[in-house]
Amino acid sequence: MNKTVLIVVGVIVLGAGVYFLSTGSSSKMAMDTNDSMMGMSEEMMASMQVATDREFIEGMIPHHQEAVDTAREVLVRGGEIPAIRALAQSIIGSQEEEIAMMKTWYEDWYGTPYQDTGRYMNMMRPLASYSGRELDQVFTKDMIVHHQGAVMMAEMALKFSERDEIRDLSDAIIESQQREIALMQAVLDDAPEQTLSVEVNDRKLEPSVVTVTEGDVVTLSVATDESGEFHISGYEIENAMEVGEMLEFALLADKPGRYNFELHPTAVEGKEGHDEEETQAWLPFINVAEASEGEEGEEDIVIGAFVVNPR
Amino acid sequence: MFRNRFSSLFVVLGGALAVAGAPAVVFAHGFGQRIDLPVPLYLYLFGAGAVVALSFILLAFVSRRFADMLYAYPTIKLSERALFRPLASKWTLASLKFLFVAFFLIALASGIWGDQNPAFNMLPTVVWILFAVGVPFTSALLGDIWRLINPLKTLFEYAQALLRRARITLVEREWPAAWGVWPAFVLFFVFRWVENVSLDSSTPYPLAMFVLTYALVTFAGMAFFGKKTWLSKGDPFSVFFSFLSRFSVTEVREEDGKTEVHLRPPAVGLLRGSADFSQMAFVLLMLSSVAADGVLSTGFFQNLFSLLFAAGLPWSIVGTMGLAGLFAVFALVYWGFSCLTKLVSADASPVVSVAQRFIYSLLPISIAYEVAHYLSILVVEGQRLIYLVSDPFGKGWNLFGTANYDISYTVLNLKLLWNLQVGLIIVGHVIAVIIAHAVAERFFKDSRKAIISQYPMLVLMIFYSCLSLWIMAQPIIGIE
Repeated sequence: MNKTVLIVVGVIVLGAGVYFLSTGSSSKMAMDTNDSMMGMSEEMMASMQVATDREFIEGMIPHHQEAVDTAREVLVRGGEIPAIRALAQSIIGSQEEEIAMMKTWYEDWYGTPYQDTGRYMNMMRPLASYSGRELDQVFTKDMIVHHQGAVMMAEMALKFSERDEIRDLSDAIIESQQREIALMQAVLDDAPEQTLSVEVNDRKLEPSVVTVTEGDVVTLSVATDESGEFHISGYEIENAMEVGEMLEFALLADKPGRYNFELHPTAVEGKEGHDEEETQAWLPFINVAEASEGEEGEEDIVIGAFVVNPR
Repeated sequence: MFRNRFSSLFVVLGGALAVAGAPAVVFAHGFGQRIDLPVPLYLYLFGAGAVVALSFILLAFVSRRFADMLYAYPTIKLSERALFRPLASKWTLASLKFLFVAFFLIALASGIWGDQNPAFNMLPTVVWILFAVGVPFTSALLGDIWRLINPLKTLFEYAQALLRRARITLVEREWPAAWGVWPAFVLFFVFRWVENVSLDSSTPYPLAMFVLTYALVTFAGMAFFGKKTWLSKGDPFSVFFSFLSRFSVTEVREEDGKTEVHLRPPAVGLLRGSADFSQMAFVLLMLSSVAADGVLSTGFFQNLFSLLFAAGLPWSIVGTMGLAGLFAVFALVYWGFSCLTKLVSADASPVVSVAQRFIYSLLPISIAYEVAHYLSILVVEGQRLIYLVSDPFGKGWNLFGTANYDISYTVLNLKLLWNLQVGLIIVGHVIAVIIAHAVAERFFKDSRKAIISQYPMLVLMIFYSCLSLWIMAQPIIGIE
């Protein structure tokens, strides 16, 4: 009797062990986004060598401008792939803002308005002879190389620049463009696509849980009844949304797990100073729920959950 | 604008709840975001099946001889091993203690004067990740390290040394016998309240005030009743960690006035001794409050809470009721099963002594659940310390060159984690059943009685383990 029991236990334990090992060691699909600069000619590389803040701005503005112009064309004539359409929109939004910022710095630092030096060599094919899906694909392929160029320049700037503005901008360019490169690569590799619409209503997301699978290219349209920043925690994605405007952006769901959709409402003028005092005046054992009431506008409000199931 | 890169990384519950009025993800660990996903259904069913099957196999397996073998477990005296001697030297221990005092003071100062953004302040991570998750894990697995590193204890020792030099002696009062560990019980409930109910638990300054208040209470307790008495009966964490360390692989013994550390097999420390009534209550509070974070964020309780909010009750009351109610349910269920155990075994001992004798055997399931539930937080949020040590006050320093570290979310393999979570509960359950059985063999003189007495306990344990699995398999509910 005892022997049988022992054998049964042994078999169960072994079985469980084998089961755990076999399901646990799932293969992880690693996407190397930084592999090479294959698409870049030596001339291009040379045209992007920068050694001073001034050269960096003079190189980065036309580089950004090319991205913005090409993305505009995608919106007008292409954009059949939803993720690419959304990406083109994001590129226009973020890079135009950065161009404006760099122009201001340029004038402040060098006392003269920015003017094109004519040194910049275009990196992307003209899209005039393409249309439809093909246009999207040509754009995507060229934009990957184009982004790699921006990352390269930003990495150079981090080595020489001593200005916080340039360093922060470079950090942001490296982070956001590498993320976009991974997204574009996934589109070219025919990753599964998910196009979803959500709505922010009264500081809640509808639907409140968005579920996708690891490796999906997700295009999200967000309508809102309140202006502010729309965040996905963990993915470090932030986008501004405006009432009455549809926010559209794409992301590669490359991190499995549960993340938060967060709303950071546009701060109400003159509230911040008041909040500071309230926190400092806080004492233990008074009603904490009331004490934290005044912090509106300072924090991220969790409005929903973003669930990425492992593949 | 680029400075704000981390701002999206942390959850500030306070703002969310206070602003939204109707709370959303209400019960949550003090600070830190969970990124793990619910265990899939097939794995949950597999786990539950394994728990039931193994329980009955174990019934046939555990005998009086096996129990005797467990009680006579072997130990290794660490001080007799050359390998461990340098570790136990006076200097190593003294510098370790000093290190933790310094760490504690820096974290506290950071809470008061540092950046008030929880992601850039050391205190929330140190309190809610390192202390509230890391130390329990270590206590349960390795041993009662809190005895060694407790910075308040060390600070008190420093103060004592100064007082001795000034020839001042503190008069230690007698600890009233009726108090048991009730002061620790009350303070532990307050701690769980701060962790789960307080909306300010992750904001550095209020958290620092909580820590400071606790430190003052502890110093007063130690000064009034003596260090040893207060720490073993009044201090919630020393009591908590010492209960957990009954499961661990080391035990501390006082031999000829010297403190000796012995290595032993895991869990056998749960066999020894019977809890008194207050200690039993404390363990029940441990069990219920560990489960609170998970249980109370399930759909059922969320709906219940919504009803209470609709009735106009504020969160502070609903949350407190949730914590206290869960304790009451755990205590009543345990008492009920203790009555059943007495009934079926037809033993003459009173129910209370049955209850007190078997309470420790539930700890393995609770520990397994705690590890399964908090592992992802420890692994992901614990990474914050990597950048925080370089810039503890959020002032833009870079002391060790790690200030720009970004948390990696992919260190966690979610599929592996699921298997680990279910596996942990199964292992915890098996250990609990074995311990309870061995205890029964000693408690009931008659071996047949011991086996029969175990049916109710077995049912309770199956129920408890399956509850743990069920919590982990609950679907994610969004913001209602």
